[in-house]
Amino acid sequence: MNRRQRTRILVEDEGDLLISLCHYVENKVPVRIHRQSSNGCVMAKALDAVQRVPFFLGEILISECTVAIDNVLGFGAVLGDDTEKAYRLAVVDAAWNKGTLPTEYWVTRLKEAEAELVRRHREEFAAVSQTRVRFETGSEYDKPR
Amino acid sequence: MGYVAVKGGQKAILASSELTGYYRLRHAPGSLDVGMLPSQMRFLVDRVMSEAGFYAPKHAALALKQAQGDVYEAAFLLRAYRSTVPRNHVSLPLDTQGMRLIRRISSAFRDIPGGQILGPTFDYAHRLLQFDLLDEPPEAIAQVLKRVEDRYSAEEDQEPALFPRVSDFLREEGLMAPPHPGAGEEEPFDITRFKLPFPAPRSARLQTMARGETGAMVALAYSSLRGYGAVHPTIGELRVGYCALILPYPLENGESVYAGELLITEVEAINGFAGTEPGEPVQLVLGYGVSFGQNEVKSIAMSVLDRALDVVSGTEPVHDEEYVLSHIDSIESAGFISHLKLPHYVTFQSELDRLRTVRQTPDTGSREGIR
Repeated sequence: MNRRQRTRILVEDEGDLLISLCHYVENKVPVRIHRQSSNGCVMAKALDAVQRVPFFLGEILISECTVAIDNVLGFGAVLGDDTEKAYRLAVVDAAWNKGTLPTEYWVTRLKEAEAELVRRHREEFAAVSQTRVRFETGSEYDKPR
Repeated sequence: MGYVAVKGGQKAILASSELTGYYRLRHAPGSLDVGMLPSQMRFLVDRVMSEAGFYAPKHAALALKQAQGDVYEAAFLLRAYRSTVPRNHVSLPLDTQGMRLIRRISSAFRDIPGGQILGPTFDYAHRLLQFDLLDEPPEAIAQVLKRVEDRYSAEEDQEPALFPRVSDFLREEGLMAPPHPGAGEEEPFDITRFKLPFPAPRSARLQTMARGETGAMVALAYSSLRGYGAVHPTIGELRVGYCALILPYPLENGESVYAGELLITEVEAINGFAGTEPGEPVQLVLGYGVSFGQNEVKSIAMSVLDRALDVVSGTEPVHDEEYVLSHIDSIESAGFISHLKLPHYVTFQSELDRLRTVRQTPDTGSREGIR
């Protein structure tokens, strides 16, 4: 499980997985704040779909934090104003970098949360798909020319 | 003539500020819950974020509450707040092709792979006031949600598909020019850090329009459609959906982290065809529009203006890059118009003096110097 996949699951999870993971780490090893969790912004880069020219779409508010476990750093960032979540993401990241976390138990929990996320997205897409247009055209239209 | 500083009015200003708050709450049954705005006033929140150039739904909602619904003021507040937070990252390019779609339509092609998905839209709604919204008890809310959610299970288990762009089909058929070689490698211009130059690089043009004021852009695009311009496109594709925000991982090169997803609207508008070089086949040309949130009219207007600014032979304002890009920023335009409310006592007194002088002069035939 790579970092992007892991952070996606943790950011999008609506349960208590991130809080549980963070508590687990905090109870196991001392966590030092390297850079206080605070608000910042990200400039969003985008690619013009027509000419493929990169440009800046605008800025996005995020919360970000950096912590250390035995001098091993971890970084957490989340869209919006949620400094607590950014801190927890940083703790999990540091523990992962340190090698404390990737146990079979937690990987299984992450995969379960990922399955739940996929299920949620499928449900939303199923609802959106109800608005798919089924075109019916008159026979005139379909006549070979 | 010089400027003279005036003092006074502090008490009046303070009292005015309090009175503004008083009028916000005077007849209110309670304080407006900011948390409700990003969903129940989502188009308004999206518009404020888009015009501020800052994606922060909760803060946009707060700005709207503070501004008492004044969109110009709310966008100003949000952009002012943006200037107080440090920018530590530039995201990886947003993958708009891979966005989690909630809406996708084409007015150019009936059959597009993946199909046309209306999604949430007022396009086909009756413009009749729904008076039942005046009193919407929890049971009514539950019913609205249930009606849609019940369909979840009815739908077959369906993987959200990847929807290819309409422009990709046109390129495959050779009906549209491929992107310029090396186009993706240019470093974008940043109008938040540097003064907008003219002629503007394409990246600066797109950034300026992406945070342009909806009304101004719609008016300019509309002028082109009505004949005061040469562009009247067909929508190749309009898509609305969620894009993942991916940041480069600051602790290790080559790694990245997911920070969330943001709603955006993207439009490709097809604008007839044009020749490229002598002897080469004529090809379709597209205009591009994009904005934060679900901002369809603005994004379409942007796609019209994008193309209009490439029509070098046009003489109307809509084809003038400096004219368009200099007049669509809400903070600048509303700010400059608003400054007319501020004291101009000295300049106006000077005009009166000149008028009186001219009237006292025997030969008052000349109006030179009088505006």
